[in-house]
Amino acid sequence: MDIKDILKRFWFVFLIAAIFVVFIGVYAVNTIQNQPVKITAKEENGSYLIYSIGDESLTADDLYDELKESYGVSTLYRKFDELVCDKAIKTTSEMKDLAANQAAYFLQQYGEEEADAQMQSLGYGSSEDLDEYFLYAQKSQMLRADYLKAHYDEYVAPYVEENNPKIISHILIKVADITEEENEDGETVYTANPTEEEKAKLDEVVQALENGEDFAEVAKEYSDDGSASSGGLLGYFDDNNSTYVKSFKNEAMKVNEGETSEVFTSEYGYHIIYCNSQNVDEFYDYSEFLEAIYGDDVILYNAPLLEKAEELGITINDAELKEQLMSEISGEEE
Amino acid sequence: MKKIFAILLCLLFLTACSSNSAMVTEKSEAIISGDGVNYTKQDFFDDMKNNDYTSTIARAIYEDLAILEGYDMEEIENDVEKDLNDLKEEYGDDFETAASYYGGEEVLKESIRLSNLVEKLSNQYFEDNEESLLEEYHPVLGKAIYFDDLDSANKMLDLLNDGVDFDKAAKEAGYEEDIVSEVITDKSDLPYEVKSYFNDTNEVGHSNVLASVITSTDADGNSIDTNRYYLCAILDTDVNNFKEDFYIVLSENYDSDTIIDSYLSKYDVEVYDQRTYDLVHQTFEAFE
Repeated sequence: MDIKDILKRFWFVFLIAAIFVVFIGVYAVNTIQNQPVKITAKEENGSYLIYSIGDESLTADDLYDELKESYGVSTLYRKFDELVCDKAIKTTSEMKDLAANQAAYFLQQYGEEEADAQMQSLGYGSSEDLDEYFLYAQKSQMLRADYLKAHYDEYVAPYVEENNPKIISHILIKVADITEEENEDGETVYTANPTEEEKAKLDEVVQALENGEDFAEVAKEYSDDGSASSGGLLGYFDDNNSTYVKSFKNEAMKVNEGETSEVFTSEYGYHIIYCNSQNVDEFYDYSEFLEAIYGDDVILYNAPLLEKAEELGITINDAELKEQLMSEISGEEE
Repeated sequence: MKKIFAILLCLLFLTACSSNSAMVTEKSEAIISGDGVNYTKQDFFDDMKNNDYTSTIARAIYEDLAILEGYDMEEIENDVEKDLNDLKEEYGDDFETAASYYGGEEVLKESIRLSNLVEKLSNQYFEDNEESLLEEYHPVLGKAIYFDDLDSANKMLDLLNDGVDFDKAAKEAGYEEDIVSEVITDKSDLPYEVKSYFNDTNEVGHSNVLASVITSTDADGNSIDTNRYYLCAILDTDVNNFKEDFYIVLSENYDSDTIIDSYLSKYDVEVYDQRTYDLVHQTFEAFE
């Protein structure tokens, strides 16, 4: 019997031997190249082990129960919301690009270590999940926005009526010398003492706007505010806003769509505000608008999630967790 | 057919060997399903690990080590209840609010239990390694105070040499702070001259004036030298008389993870889950 015959007859023995040789070879190469430590799973009495110390050990099932008790509801909620949002809102390439940009910006701002910590505090593995998180955040916002659109009369109209929301832009001409004093009502009044250069800059801005030049272009050219590069756009603003100084808020609330405010002074210098829009349809793109309406109302915030889950037929099958979660987010015992 | 079955079996065996993730039983059971969604029990298990997993594993390890060290778990539980009741008594009506900062009474209780376990394991470690720790730390029970001027220090020394008590002599020399006796070791935050006195003198008594120059930096980054004149007293050199306080000093100097690590090595810890290894081995080096 020559080698050819032996190979033909015992081909499966050689094949199995070859598989073992490849397996051992790969293992050896990995070891030699000092690859990160690879852990091998171990099963004992039908349960996988997480670790063993002396005669004691922790099984995956025991750990599952422990984790479920501590983090089960919060993890399930995040995942349920994520899965429903994902099914409800189709991913577009624009959304993917935006999420990737947001992730890159976040990583650049905070660095990998801080980004890892932030993501872990949100229940994600690491900064590698940033894209996934920002995509989910967009979808979650869209789901909540769609719900408000569908329930406009109930939630949006009263809020708009009461808080006069708008989208605004702004030009700042910084003035180094500002004096402040209290008026009769106890309010702080600011007076600018501009240099010739600062005054000339303001005059140019006022003249350009009077000549009908586009507000955004003027802002790009003259504004000393960080918003200059985006045409002075500050975004969503309403009567509940507490981010800006009082004089700014007062003036912002006065302007209507297409109007420009008078020049006014704050501790930072001269300001001019422009109202870009009072069209409610444009507000839904701003998370501040949604947050303003949903506020801290957990039941309202989760109403879109539960409605959509029911519509799509997505259900939680763990009865115990479902009961706990529903009592928190729907206000009803299951 | 047999041959194909043998090959498949072989591949299955190799796949099982190369698996590196611990799986839960009924791992394919759907926790969330519908509309093409199939979020399994295993997915859920893996996602839950993203929540402060290192602490969860550490907690489990402390428990296991306590069992392996033969601690009376009932006694540990009683101690926890006692500590909790002490806190309740201390905070009175504000207890619930105080506990809520920890995430509620149950979480607080768990935290007390862990802290007690770590303390117990640490003290056991200190006891087991006492000889080398005494060699390393040279603990004595003593007092150390300083004056900014030499005259006051000399005045106090004269009083001490006349047999006046340390605290009384300090007061008479113009020292106004409270004087406490403490465990002083080679790692104490004291000037070299002072630590040398405590280290070299192995008997109860007081020091001479020990002059030391402390260098600090002002707001402009300039170096400033300040003279300090120390007077010290050794009250006790037998560690058995202040062992509890010495252990407190040790636990302030020792990273509890290092101590736990030594227990893990002692009991030969083995880890069988890649994710657990990746997350935990940086905390516990022996965890591999």
